[in-house]
Amino acid sequence: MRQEQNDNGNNYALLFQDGNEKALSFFYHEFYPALAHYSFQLTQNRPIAEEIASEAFVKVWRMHYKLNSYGGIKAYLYKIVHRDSIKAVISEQKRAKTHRNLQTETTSDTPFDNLVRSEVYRIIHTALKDLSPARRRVVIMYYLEGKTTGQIAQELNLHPSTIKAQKKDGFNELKKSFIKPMLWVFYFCIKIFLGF
Amino acid sequence: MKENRYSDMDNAASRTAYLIAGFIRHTLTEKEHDELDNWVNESDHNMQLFEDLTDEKNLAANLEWMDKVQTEQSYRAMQEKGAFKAPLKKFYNKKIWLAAASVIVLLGVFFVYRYTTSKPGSVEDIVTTDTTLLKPGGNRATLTLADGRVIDLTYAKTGAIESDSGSHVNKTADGELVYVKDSSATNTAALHTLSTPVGGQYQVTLPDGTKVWLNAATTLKYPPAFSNNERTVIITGEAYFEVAKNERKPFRVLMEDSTTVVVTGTHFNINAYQNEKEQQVTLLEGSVTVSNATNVTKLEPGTQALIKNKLITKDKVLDADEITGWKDGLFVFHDATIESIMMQLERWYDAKIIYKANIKQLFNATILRKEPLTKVIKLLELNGYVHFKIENNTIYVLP
Repeated sequence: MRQEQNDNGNNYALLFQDGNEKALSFFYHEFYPALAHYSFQLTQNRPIAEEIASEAFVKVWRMHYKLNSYGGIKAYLYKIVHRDSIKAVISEQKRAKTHRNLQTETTSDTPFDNLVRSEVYRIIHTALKDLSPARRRVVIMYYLEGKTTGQIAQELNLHPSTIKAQKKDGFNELKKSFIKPMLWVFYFCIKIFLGF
Repeated sequence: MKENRYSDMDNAASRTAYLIAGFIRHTLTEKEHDELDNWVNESDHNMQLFEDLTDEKNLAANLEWMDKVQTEQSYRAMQEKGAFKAPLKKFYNKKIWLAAASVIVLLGVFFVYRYTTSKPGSVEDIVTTDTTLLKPGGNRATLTLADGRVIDLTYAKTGAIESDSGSHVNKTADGELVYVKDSSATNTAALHTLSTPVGGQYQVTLPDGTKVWLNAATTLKYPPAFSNNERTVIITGEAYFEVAKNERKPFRVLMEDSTTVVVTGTHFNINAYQNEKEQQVTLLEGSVTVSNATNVTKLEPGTQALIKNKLITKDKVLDADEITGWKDGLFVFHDATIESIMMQLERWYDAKIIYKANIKQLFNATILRKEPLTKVIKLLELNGYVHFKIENNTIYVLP
Protein backbone atom coordinates (compact mmCIF):
# COMPACT_ATOMS: atom_id res chain seq x y z
CA MET A 1 0.00 0.00 0.00
CA ARG A 2 2.85 2.29 0.71
CA GLN A 3 4.09 1.81 -2.82
CA GLU A 4 0.73 2.88 -4.29
CA GLN A 5 0.63 5.93 -2.11
CA ASN A 6 4.15 6.78 -3.24
CA ASP A 7 3.15 6.53 -6.90
CA ASN A 8 0.14 8.72 -6.26
CA GLY A 9 2.30 11.29 -4.53
CA ASN A 10 4.84 11.32 -7.33
CA ASN A 11 2.12 11.73 -9.94
CA TYR A 12 0.90 14.79 -8.10
CA ALA A 13 4.50 15.96 -7.92
CA LEU A 14 4.82 15.91 -11.70
CA LEU A 15 1.59 17.91 -11.96
CA PHE A 16 3.02 20.27 -9.35
CA GLN A 17 6.03 20.87 -11.53
CA ASP A 18 3.71 21.71 -14.41
CA GLY A 19 2.04 24.37 -12.26
CA ASN A 20 -1.24 22.47 -11.90
CA GLU A 21 -3.29 23.96 -9.06
CA LYS A 22 -4.88 20.65 -8.17
CA ALA A 23 -1.42 19.47 -7.23
CA LEU A 24 -0.86 22.57 -5.11
CA SER A 25 -4.11 21.82 -3.29
CA PHE A 26 -3.06 18.21 -2.79
CA PHE A 27 0.25 19.12 -1.20
CA TYR A 28 -1.28 21.91 0.84
CA HIS A 29 -3.87 19.62 2.38
CA GLU A 30 -1.34 16.83 2.82
CA PHE A 31 1.33 18.83 4.62
CA TYR A 32 -0.08 22.04 6.03
CA PRO A 33 -1.00 20.66 9.50
CA ALA A 34 2.32 18.83 9.84
CA LEU A 35 4.33 21.87 8.77
CA ALA A 36 2.43 24.08 11.20
CA HIS A 37 3.07 21.48 13.89
CA TYR A 38 6.76 21.42 12.98
CA SER A 39 7.00 25.19 13.20
CA PHE A 40 5.11 25.16 16.48
CA GLN A 41 7.76 22.86 17.96
CA LEU A 42 10.28 25.64 17.36
CA THR A 43 8.24 28.83 17.75
CA GLN A 44 5.76 27.65 20.40
CA ASN A 45 3.28 30.10 18.85
CA ARG A 46 0.32 28.76 16.91
CA PRO A 47 -0.61 31.79 14.74
CA ILE A 48 3.01 32.34 13.75
CA ALA A 49 3.50 28.63 13.07
CA GLU A 50 0.46 28.52 10.79
CA GLU A 51 1.56 31.64 8.97
CA ILE A 52 5.04 30.25 8.39
CA ALA A 53 3.53 27.03 7.08
CA SER A 54 1.27 28.77 4.57
CA GLU A 55 4.05 31.10 3.45
CA ALA A 56 6.23 28.06 2.79
CA PHE A 57 3.74 26.92 0.18
CA VAL A 58 3.82 30.32 -1.49
CA LYS A 59 7.61 30.12 -1.71
CA VAL A 60 7.67 26.57 -2.96
CA TRP A 61 4.94 27.29 -5.51
CA ARG A 62 7.09 30.04 -6.99
CA MET A 63 9.72 27.46 -7.81
CA HIS A 64 7.33 24.76 -8.87
CA TYR A 65 9.17 24.21 -12.12
CA LYS A 66 12.20 22.95 -10.19
CA LEU A 67 10.49 20.29 -8.10
CA ASN A 68 9.20 17.05 -9.51
CA SER A 69 9.15 14.43 -6.78
CA TYR A 70 6.99 13.89 -3.69
CA GLY A 71 10.05 13.49 -1.46
CA GLY A 72 11.71 16.55 -2.96
CA ILE A 73 8.70 18.78 -2.40
CA LYS A 74 8.27 17.49 1.15
CA ALA A 75 11.93 18.00 2.02
CA TYR A 76 11.94 21.50 0.56
CA LEU A 77 8.78 22.51 2.44
CA TYR A 78 10.22 21.36 5.75
CA LYS A 79 13.50 23.06 4.98
CA ILE A 80 11.80 26.40 4.40
CA VAL A 81 9.59 26.07 7.49
CA HIS A 82 12.67 25.22 9.56
CA ARG A 83 14.58 28.22 8.31
CA ASP A 84 11.71 30.66 8.74
CA SER A 85 10.86 29.31 12.20
CA ILE A 86 14.41 29.80 13.42
CA LYS A 87 14.34 33.32 11.98
CA ALA A 88 11.09 34.04 13.81
CA VAL A 89 12.45 32.75 17.11
CA ILE A 90 15.61 34.80 16.81
CA SER A 91 13.78 38.01 15.96
CA GLU A 92 11.35 37.38 18.81
CA GLN A 93 14.27 36.94 21.18
CA LYS A 94 15.77 40.18 19.97
CA ARG A 95 12.47 41.99 20.50
CA ALA A 96 11.86 40.61 23.95
CA LYS A 97 15.52 41.27 24.78
CA THR A 98 15.75 38.02 26.65
CA HIS A 99 18.73 35.84 26.02
CA ARG A 100 17.20 32.46 26.30
CA ASN A 101 19.24 29.65 24.93
CA LEU A 102 17.21 27.97 22.18
CA GLN A 103 18.49 24.60 23.23
CA THR A 104 17.71 24.70 26.94
CA GLU A 105 14.37 26.45 26.44
CA THR A 106 12.54 23.47 25.06
CA THR A 107 14.07 20.00 25.10
CA SER A 108 17.20 18.47 23.67
CA ASP A 109 15.38 17.92 20.39
CA THR A 110 17.47 17.84 17.25
CA PRO A 111 16.07 18.88 13.85
CA PHE A 112 15.84 15.15 13.11
CA ASP A 113 13.61 14.66 16.17
CA ASN A 114 11.36 17.56 15.21
CA LEU A 115 10.97 16.17 11.72
CA VAL A 116 10.18 12.66 12.97
CA ARG A 117 7.62 14.03 15.41
CA SER A 118 5.71 16.03 12.84
CA GLU A 119 5.81 13.21 10.33
CA VAL A 120 4.55 10.58 12.79
CA TYR A 121 1.63 12.77 13.79
CA ARG A 122 0.94 13.65 10.17
CA ILE A 123 0.71 9.99 9.17
CA ILE A 124 -1.61 9.09 12.02
CA HIS A 125 -3.67 12.26 11.73
CA THR A 126 -4.19 11.64 8.02
CA ALA A 127 -5.26 8.05 8.64
CA LEU A 128 -7.79 9.12 11.26
CA LYS A 129 -8.99 12.22 9.47
CA ASP A 130 -11.84 10.66 7.55
CA LEU A 131 -13.38 8.77 10.45
CA SER A 132 -16.42 10.01 12.35
CA PRO A 133 -15.69 11.24 15.89
CA ALA A 134 -17.25 8.17 17.48
CA ARG A 135 -15.27 5.70 15.39
CA ARG A 136 -12.17 7.76 15.80
CA ARG A 137 -12.38 7.59 19.55
CA VAL A 138 -12.64 3.84 19.48
CA VAL A 139 -9.81 3.34 16.99
CA ILE A 140 -7.52 5.68 18.93
CA MET A 141 -8.23 3.92 22.16
CA TYR A 142 -7.52 0.58 20.57
CA TYR A 143 -4.30 1.75 18.94
CA LEU A 144 -2.86 3.75 21.76
CA GLU A 145 -3.87 2.00 24.85
CA GLY A 146 -4.13 -1.51 23.49
CA LYS A 147 -7.37 -1.75 25.42
CA THR A 148 -9.52 -4.77 24.87
CA THR A 149 -13.08 -4.44 23.64
CA GLY A 150 -14.35 -5.10 27.17
CA GLN A 151 -12.21 -2.36 28.69
CA ILE A 152 -13.28 0.20 26.08
CA ALA A 153 -16.93 -0.75 26.53
CA GLN A 154 -16.62 -0.20 30.24
CA GLU A 155 -14.96 3.18 29.80
CA LEU A 156 -17.43 4.48 27.25
CA ASN A 157 -20.44 2.90 28.88
CA LEU A 158 -21.37 1.02 25.75
CA HIS A 159 -22.18 -2.56 24.92
CA PRO A 160 -19.15 -4.57 23.73
CA SER A 161 -20.92 -5.46 20.48
CA THR A 162 -21.27 -1.71 19.68
CA ILE A 163 -17.53 -1.35 20.20
CA LYS A 164 -16.87 -4.29 17.93
CA ALA A 165 -19.09 -2.74 15.26
CA GLN A 166 -17.44 0.69 15.63
CA LYS A 167 -13.99 -0.86 15.39
CA LYS A 168 -14.94 -2.82 12.33
CA ASP A 169 -16.51 0.22 10.67
CA GLY A 170 -13.51 2.26 11.62
CA PHE A 171 -11.20 -0.19 9.88
CA ASN A 172 -13.46 -0.35 6.87
CA GLU A 173 -13.41 3.42 6.60
CA LEU A 174 -9.65 3.31 6.81
CA LYS A 175 -9.63 0.73 4.04
CA LYS A 176 -11.94 2.97 1.99
CA SER A 177 -9.57 5.87 2.34
CA PHE A 178 -7.03 3.82 0.46
CA ILE A 179 -9.35 2.98 -2.43
CA LYS A 180 -9.68 6.59 -3.58
CA PRO A 181 -5.93 7.10 -4.02
CA MET A 182 -5.70 3.78 -5.80
CA LEU A 183 -8.34 4.94 -8.27
CA TRP A 184 -6.30 8.09 -8.86
CA VAL A 185 -3.23 5.97 -9.54
CA PHE A 186 -5.24 3.89 -11.99
CA TYR A 187 -6.46 7.06 -13.67
CA PHE A 188 -2.94 8.37 -13.99
CA CYS A 189 -1.62 5.08 -15.30
CA ILE A 190 -4.22 5.22 -18.06
CA LYS A 191 -3.28 8.82 -18.81
CA ILE A 192 0.40 7.98 -19.01
CA PHE A 193 -0.35 4.94 -21.16
CA LEU A 194 -2.27 7.12 -23.57
CA GLY A 195 0.62 9.59 -23.63
CA PHE A 196 -1.19 12.49 -21.95
CA MET B 1 13.88 10.99 -9.77
CA LYS B 2 17.13 11.55 -7.94
CA GLU B 3 16.94 13.78 -4.92
CA ASN B 4 20.58 13.95 -4.08
CA ARG B 5 20.44 17.62 -3.41
CA TYR B 6 18.40 17.06 -0.26
CA SER B 7 20.04 15.72 2.80
CA ASP B 8 19.91 12.13 3.87
CA MET B 9 18.35 13.35 7.08
CA ASP B 10 14.99 13.88 5.40
CA ASN B 11 14.93 10.32 4.08
CA ALA B 12 16.02 8.84 7.40
CA ALA B 13 13.50 10.91 9.33
CA SER B 14 10.67 9.94 6.97
CA ARG B 15 11.57 6.27 7.32
CA THR B 16 11.76 6.46 11.11
CA ALA B 17 8.44 8.30 11.25
CA TYR B 18 6.84 5.67 9.02
CA LEU B 19 8.04 2.90 11.34
CA ILE B 20 6.91 4.59 14.53
CA ALA B 21 3.51 5.49 13.06
CA GLY B 22 3.18 1.89 11.88
CA PHE B 23 4.01 0.67 15.35
CA ILE B 24 1.28 2.81 16.86
CA ARG B 25 -1.24 1.62 14.28
CA HIS B 26 -0.20 -2.03 14.58
CA THR B 27 0.49 -2.22 10.84
CA LEU B 28 4.19 -3.12 10.84
CA THR B 29 5.50 -6.28 9.24
CA GLU B 30 7.90 -8.40 11.26
CA LYS B 31 10.83 -7.11 9.23
CA GLU B 32 9.77 -3.52 9.84
CA HIS B 33 9.39 -4.25 13.52
CA ASP B 34 13.00 -5.47 13.60
CA GLU B 35 14.11 -2.35 11.76
CA LEU B 36 12.33 -0.20 14.33
CA ASP B 37 13.84 -2.15 17.23
CA ASN B 38 17.31 -1.63 15.82
CA TRP B 39 16.74 2.09 15.51
CA VAL B 40 15.34 2.41 19.04
CA ASN B 41 18.24 0.49 20.51
CA GLU B 42 20.83 2.58 18.69
CA SER B 43 20.96 5.19 21.43
CA ASP B 44 19.31 6.50 24.59
CA HIS B 45 18.23 9.51 22.58
CA ASN B 46 16.35 7.34 20.10
CA MET B 47 14.78 5.34 22.90
CA GLN B 48 13.68 8.58 24.56
CA LEU B 49 12.15 9.90 21.32
CA PHE B 50 10.34 6.62 20.74
CA GLU B 51 8.86 6.57 24.23
CA ASP B 52 7.89 10.18 23.88
CA LEU B 53 6.06 9.59 20.62
CA THR B 54 4.28 6.43 21.72
CA ASP B 55 3.11 7.92 24.99
CA GLU B 56 -0.70 8.10 24.84
CA LYS B 57 -1.03 11.50 26.43
CA ASN B 58 1.47 13.04 24.02
CA LEU B 59 -0.14 11.39 21.05
CA ALA B 60 -3.63 12.51 22.04
CA ALA B 61 -2.45 16.05 22.74
CA ASN B 62 -0.58 16.38 19.44
CA LEU B 63 -3.41 14.91 17.40
CA GLU B 64 -5.73 17.38 19.09
CA TRP B 65 -3.34 20.18 18.15
CA MET B 66 -3.42 19.11 14.52
CA ASP B 67 -7.20 18.78 14.61
CA LYS B 68 -7.42 22.45 15.48
CA VAL B 69 -5.55 23.36 12.30
CA GLN B 70 -8.08 24.63 9.77
CA THR B 71 -6.37 23.52 6.60
CA GLU B 72 -9.22 24.07 4.17
CA GLN B 73 -9.97 27.55 5.52
CA SER B 74 -6.32 28.45 5.37
CA TYR B 75 -6.04 27.27 1.78
CA ARG B 76 -9.15 29.18 0.70
CA ALA B 77 -7.94 32.32 2.44
CA MET B 78 -4.58 32.09 0.66
CA GLN B 79 -6.34 31.59 -2.68
CA GLU B 80 -8.61 34.54 -2.09
CA LYS B 81 -5.85 36.94 -1.30
CA GLY B 82 -4.07 35.78 -4.42
CA ALA B 83 -1.00 34.55 -2.54
CA PHE B 84 -0.32 31.89 -5.13
CA LYS B 85 -0.71 34.21 -8.08
CA ALA B 86 1.61 36.91 -6.77
CA PRO B 87 3.78 37.43 -9.86
CA LEU B 88 0.81 37.86 -12.22
CA LYS B 89 -0.68 40.57 -10.00
CA LYS B 90 1.82 43.02 -11.39
CA PHE B 91 0.24 42.73 -14.81
CA TYR B 92 -3.09 44.02 -13.64
CA ASN B 93 -1.75 47.55 -13.71
CA LYS B 94 -3.95 49.36 -16.20
CA LYS B 95 -1.26 51.52 -17.74
CA ILE B 96 1.03 48.62 -18.42
CA TRP B 97 -1.83 46.61 -19.88
CA LEU B 98 -2.73 49.41 -22.28
CA ALA B 99 0.86 49.86 -23.33
CA ALA B 100 1.30 46.11 -23.81
CA ALA B 101 -1.98 45.87 -25.66
CA SER B 102 -1.05 48.60 -28.13
CA VAL B 103 2.36 47.03 -28.74
CA ILE B 104 0.68 43.68 -29.37
CA VAL B 105 -1.75 45.25 -31.82
CA LEU B 106 1.08 46.93 -33.71
CA LEU B 107 3.09 43.72 -33.78
CA GLY B 108 0.02 41.85 -34.92
CA VAL B 109 -0.42 44.19 -37.85
CA PHE B 110 3.25 43.93 -38.68
CA PHE B 111 3.29 40.14 -38.68
CA VAL B 112 0.07 39.80 -40.63
CA TYR B 113 1.61 42.03 -43.27
CA ARG B 114 4.88 40.12 -43.25
CA TYR B 115 3.41 36.67 -43.48
CA THR B 116 0.84 37.38 -46.10
CA THR B 117 3.49 38.60 -48.50
CA SER B 118 6.12 35.94 -47.89
CA LYS B 119 6.97 32.70 -49.65
CA PRO B 120 5.18 29.41 -48.93
CA GLY B 121 6.69 27.13 -46.34
CA SER B 122 7.03 29.67 -43.55
CA VAL B 123 4.60 28.13 -41.13
CA GLU B 124 4.43 28.99 -37.44
CA ASP B 125 3.65 25.52 -36.21
CA ILE B 126 6.32 22.93 -35.69
CA VAL B 127 6.80 20.83 -38.80
CA THR B 128 8.63 17.59 -38.37
CA THR B 129 9.03 15.63 -41.52
CA ASP B 130 11.26 12.81 -40.44
CA THR B 131 10.78 11.02 -37.13
CA THR B 132 14.11 9.23 -37.25
CA LEU B 133 16.10 12.45 -36.89
CA LEU B 134 16.53 14.60 -33.80
CA LYS B 135 15.99 11.81 -31.29
CA PRO B 136 17.21 12.40 -27.72
CA GLY B 137 20.69 11.15 -26.87
CA GLY B 138 21.53 8.02 -24.98
CA ASN B 139 24.35 5.95 -23.54
CA ARG B 140 26.85 5.97 -26.39
CA ALA B 141 30.64 6.04 -26.33
CA THR B 142 33.79 4.52 -27.75
CA LEU B 143 36.84 3.36 -25.81
CA THR B 144 40.22 3.67 -27.52
CA LEU B 145 42.96 1.54 -25.97
CA ALA B 146 46.66 2.43 -25.77
CA ASP B 147 47.46 0.17 -28.68
CA GLY B 148 44.92 2.00 -30.86
CA ARG B 149 42.08 -0.54 -30.83
CA VAL B 150 38.65 1.14 -30.72
CA ILE B 151 35.77 -0.53 -28.90
CA ASP B 152 32.20 0.62 -29.43
CA LEU B 153 30.67 0.52 -25.95
CA THR B 154 27.15 1.29 -27.17
CA TYR B 155 26.55 -2.19 -28.47
CA ALA B 156 29.05 -4.11 -26.36
CA LYS B 157 27.58 -6.77 -24.10
CA THR B 158 27.82 -6.23 -20.35
CA GLY B 159 30.77 -8.02 -18.82
CA ALA B 160 34.50 -7.88 -19.46
CA ILE B 161 35.70 -5.52 -22.16
CA GLU B 162 38.92 -6.29 -23.96
CA SER B 163 41.78 -4.17 -22.68
CA ASP B 164 45.54 -3.83 -22.72
CA SER B 165 48.42 -2.78 -20.47
CA GLY B 166 47.38 -5.45 -17.97
CA SER B 167 44.21 -3.63 -16.92
CA HIS B 168 40.73 -5.07 -16.52
CA VAL B 169 37.61 -3.24 -17.63
CA ASN B 170 33.97 -4.23 -17.26
CA LYS B 171 30.78 -2.84 -18.73
CA THR B 172 28.63 -3.22 -15.63
CA ALA B 173 25.40 -1.83 -17.09
CA ASP B 174 24.11 0.21 -20.00
CA GLY B 175 26.16 3.39 -19.91
CA GLU B 176 28.59 2.31 -17.17
CA LEU B 177 32.23 1.32 -17.45
CA VAL B 178 34.29 0.19 -14.44
CA TYR B 179 38.05 -0.25 -14.21
CA VAL B 180 39.22 -2.86 -11.75
CA LYS B 181 42.00 -1.71 -9.43
CA ASP B 182 44.86 -3.82 -10.64
CA SER B 183 48.38 -3.56 -9.27
CA SER B 184 49.70 -5.85 -11.93
CA ALA B 185 49.08 -3.17 -14.56
CA THR B 186 52.49 -2.35 -15.94
CA ASN B 187 52.71 0.56 -18.32
CA THR B 188 51.60 3.69 -16.47
CA ALA B 189 52.39 5.90 -19.45
CA ALA B 190 49.68 4.27 -21.55
CA LEU B 191 46.45 6.19 -22.04
CA HIS B 192 42.90 5.10 -22.71
CA THR B 193 40.42 7.46 -24.35
CA LEU B 194 36.71 7.40 -23.57
CA SER B 195 34.78 9.47 -26.07
CA THR B 196 31.08 10.32 -26.36
CA PRO B 197 29.59 11.45 -29.68
CA VAL B 198 27.04 14.23 -30.09
CA GLY B 199 23.92 12.78 -28.47
CA GLY B 200 25.94 10.50 -26.22
CA GLN B 201 26.71 10.22 -22.53
CA TYR B 202 28.63 7.72 -20.43
CA GLN B 203 29.86 7.03 -16.93
CA VAL B 204 33.21 5.54 -16.04
CA THR B 205 34.80 4.45 -12.74
CA LEU B 206 38.58 4.88 -12.94
CA PRO B 207 41.04 2.43 -11.34
CA ASP B 208 41.28 4.55 -8.17
CA GLY B 209 37.52 4.54 -7.64
CA THR B 210 36.94 8.03 -9.04
CA LYS B 211 33.60 8.28 -10.85
CA VAL B 212 33.28 10.45 -13.95
CA TRP B 213 30.08 11.23 -15.86
CA LEU B 214 30.68 12.35 -19.47
CA ASN B 215 28.19 14.59 -21.26
CA ALA B 216 27.75 14.65 -25.04
CA ALA B 217 30.67 15.39 -27.41
CA THR B 218 33.19 14.80 -24.64
CA THR B 219 36.56 13.06 -24.54
CA LEU B 220 38.37 11.88 -21.42
CA LYS B 221 41.95 10.55 -21.58
CA TYR B 222 43.35 8.67 -18.58
CA PRO B 223 45.85 5.95 -17.77
CA PRO B 224 44.40 2.49 -17.13
CA ALA B 225 46.69 2.41 -14.09
CA PHE B 226 47.59 5.55 -12.16
CA SER B 227 51.22 6.23 -11.31
CA ASN B 228 52.50 6.15 -7.77
CA ASN B 229 52.48 9.82 -6.93
CA GLU B 230 49.67 11.40 -8.90
CA ARG B 231 46.51 10.84 -10.95
CA THR B 232 46.19 12.88 -14.13
CA VAL B 233 43.41 12.91 -16.72
CA ILE B 234 42.75 15.11 -19.76
CA ILE B 235 39.35 16.41 -20.84
CA THR B 236 37.55 18.26 -23.61
CA GLY B 237 33.81 18.70 -23.31
CA GLU B 238 31.78 18.44 -20.10
CA ALA B 239 32.15 16.00 -17.23
CA TYR B 240 31.18 15.68 -13.62
CA PHE B 241 33.74 14.19 -11.25
CA GLU B 242 33.44 12.44 -7.90
CA VAL B 243 37.07 12.01 -7.02
CA ALA B 244 38.10 9.19 -4.69
CA LYS B 245 39.96 10.55 -1.69
CA ASN B 246 43.73 10.03 -1.71
CA GLU B 247 45.77 12.81 -0.16
CA ARG B 248 49.06 11.24 -1.21
CA LYS B 249 48.04 11.21 -4.85
CA PRO B 250 46.45 14.50 -5.91
CA PHE B 251 44.01 14.23 -8.78
CA ARG B 252 44.68 16.58 -11.69
CA VAL B 253 42.44 17.40 -14.62
CA LEU B 254 44.04 19.05 -17.65
CA MET B 255 41.96 21.00 -20.11
CA GLU B 256 42.99 21.41 -23.73
CA ASP B 257 44.05 25.04 -23.25
CA SER B 258 46.37 23.81 -20.48
CA THR B 259 44.25 25.02 -17.58
CA THR B 260 44.73 22.61 -14.71
CA VAL B 261 42.37 21.62 -11.90
CA VAL B 262 43.99 20.02 -8.84
CA VAL B 263 41.95 18.21 -6.19
CA THR B 264 42.40 15.65 -3.44
CA GLY B 265 38.90 14.31 -3.03
CA THR B 266 35.80 16.14 -4.08
CA HIS B 267 32.79 16.65 -6.39
CA PHE B 268 32.98 19.11 -9.25
CA ASN B 269 31.80 19.78 -12.79
CA ILE B 270 33.99 20.86 -15.70
CA ASN B 271 32.54 22.44 -18.81
CA ALA B 272 35.30 22.82 -21.40
CA TYR B 273 33.91 22.62 -24.88
CA GLN B 274 36.31 23.83 -27.58
CA ASN B 275 33.56 25.60 -29.50
CA GLU B 276 32.46 27.77 -26.58
CA LYS B 277 33.92 31.12 -25.55
CA GLU B 278 34.52 30.24 -21.93
CA GLN B 279 35.13 27.20 -19.80
CA GLN B 280 33.76 26.65 -16.30
CA VAL B 281 34.83 24.61 -13.32
CA THR B 282 32.10 24.37 -10.69
CA LEU B 283 32.83 22.96 -7.24
CA LEU B 284 30.11 21.22 -5.24
CA GLU B 285 31.99 19.57 -2.40
CA GLY B 286 35.58 19.49 -1.18
CA SER B 287 38.22 21.83 -2.57
CA VAL B 288 40.01 22.39 -5.86
CA THR B 289 42.63 24.72 -7.27
CA VAL B 290 42.24 25.94 -10.84
CA SER B 291 45.39 27.25 -12.50
CA ASN B 292 46.97 28.11 -15.83
CA ALA B 293 50.19 29.81 -16.86
CA THR B 294 49.09 33.17 -15.45
CA ASN B 295 46.49 32.62 -12.68
CA VAL B 296 45.79 30.44 -9.71
CA THR B 297 42.35 30.33 -8.12
CA LYS B 298 41.14 28.26 -5.17
CA LEU B 299 37.45 27.34 -5.10
CA GLU B 300 35.11 26.71 -2.19
CA PRO B 301 31.96 24.61 -2.50
CA GLY B 302 29.25 26.59 -4.27
CA THR B 303 31.69 28.63 -6.35
CA GLN B 304 32.77 28.47 -9.94
CA ALA B 305 35.90 29.40 -11.91
CA LEU B 306 35.34 30.96 -15.33
CA ILE B 307 38.18 30.71 -17.81
CA LYS B 308 38.04 33.11 -20.72
CA ASN B 309 40.93 34.37 -22.84
CA LYS B 310 43.41 32.81 -20.42
CA LEU B 311 41.91 34.76 -17.50
CA ILE B 312 40.41 32.99 -14.53
CA THR B 313 37.64 34.72 -12.58
CA LYS B 314 35.71 33.40 -9.61
CA ASP B 315 31.96 33.48 -9.25
CA LYS B 316 29.35 32.31 -6.78
CA VAL B 317 26.97 29.61 -8.00
CA LEU B 318 23.38 30.02 -6.85
CA ASP B 319 21.93 26.92 -8.42
CA ALA B 320 24.09 23.81 -8.51
CA ASP B 321 21.29 21.87 -10.19
CA GLU B 322 21.64 24.05 -13.25
CA ILE B 323 25.24 22.90 -13.63
CA THR B 324 24.90 19.22 -12.81
CA GLY B 325 21.30 18.50 -13.79
CA TRP B 326 22.54 16.82 -16.96
CA LYS B 327 24.14 13.95 -15.10
CA ASP B 328 20.82 13.15 -13.47
CA GLY B 329 19.09 13.07 -16.82
CA LEU B 330 17.66 16.59 -16.72
CA PHE B 331 17.98 19.82 -18.64
CA VAL B 332 17.87 22.54 -15.98
CA PHE B 333 17.52 26.06 -17.35
CA HIS B 334 17.52 28.87 -14.82
CA ASP B 335 17.41 32.36 -16.34
CA ALA B 336 19.21 30.86 -19.32
CA THR B 337 19.73 32.61 -22.66
CA ILE B 338 18.28 30.97 -25.74
CA GLU B 339 21.82 30.50 -27.05
CA SER B 340 22.99 28.47 -24.09
CA ILE B 341 19.83 26.36 -24.29
CA MET B 342 20.18 25.73 -28.03
CA MET B 343 23.82 24.80 -27.57
CA GLN B 344 22.82 22.02 -25.18
CA LEU B 345 20.00 20.85 -27.46
CA GLU B 346 22.38 20.86 -30.42
CA ARG B 347 24.74 18.57 -28.58
CA TRP B 348 22.12 16.19 -27.27
CA TYR B 349 19.79 15.89 -30.23
CA ASP B 350 22.48 16.27 -32.91
CA ALA B 351 20.69 19.19 -34.52
CA LYS B 352 21.84 22.21 -36.47
CA ILE B 353 20.66 25.55 -35.13
CA ILE B 354 19.81 28.53 -37.32
CA TYR B 355 18.81 31.78 -35.66
CA LYS B 356 16.21 33.89 -37.42
CA ALA B 357 15.95 36.36 -34.57
CA ASN B 358 17.82 37.70 -31.60
CA ILE B 359 15.84 36.51 -28.59
CA LYS B 360 16.71 38.49 -25.49
CA GLN B 361 14.36 36.68 -23.12
CA LEU B 362 15.71 34.40 -20.37
CA PHE B 363 14.15 31.00 -19.84
CA ASN B 364 13.32 28.78 -16.90
CA ALA B 365 12.52 25.11 -17.31
CA THR B 366 13.41 21.65 -16.06
CA ILE B 367 12.95 18.92 -18.63
CA LEU B 368 13.90 15.27 -18.77
CA ARG B 369 16.65 14.71 -21.30
CA LYS B 370 14.92 11.63 -22.61
CA GLU B 371 11.93 13.66 -23.81
CA PRO B 372 11.61 13.98 -27.59
CA LEU B 373 12.79 17.29 -29.00
CA THR B 374 9.26 18.31 -29.99
CA LYS B 375 8.21 18.24 -26.34
CA VAL B 376 11.20 20.30 -25.22
CA ILE B 377 10.45 22.83 -27.95
CA LYS B 378 6.79 23.06 -26.96
CA LEU B 379 7.77 23.75 -23.36
CA LEU B 380 10.12 26.56 -24.38
CA GLU B 381 7.44 28.06 -26.57
CA LEU B 382 4.98 28.19 -23.67
CA ASN B 383 5.74 31.73 -22.61
CA GLY B 384 5.39 32.96 -26.14
CA TYR B 385 8.75 34.69 -26.42
CA VAL B 386 10.21 32.31 -28.97
CA HIS B 387 9.03 29.92 -31.65
CA PHE B 388 10.71 27.09 -33.46
CA LYS B 389 10.47 25.32 -36.76
CA ILE B 390 12.06 21.96 -37.33
CA GLU B 391 13.06 20.83 -40.81
CA ASN B 392 15.03 17.60 -41.22
CA ASN B 393 17.82 18.02 -38.69
CA THR B 394 17.74 21.77 -38.38
CA ILE B 395 16.01 23.86 -35.74
CA TYR B 396 15.09 27.40 -36.73
CA VAL B 397 14.80 29.85 -33.85
CA LEU B 398 12.07 32.38 -34.60
CA PRO B 399 10.64 35.29 -32.65
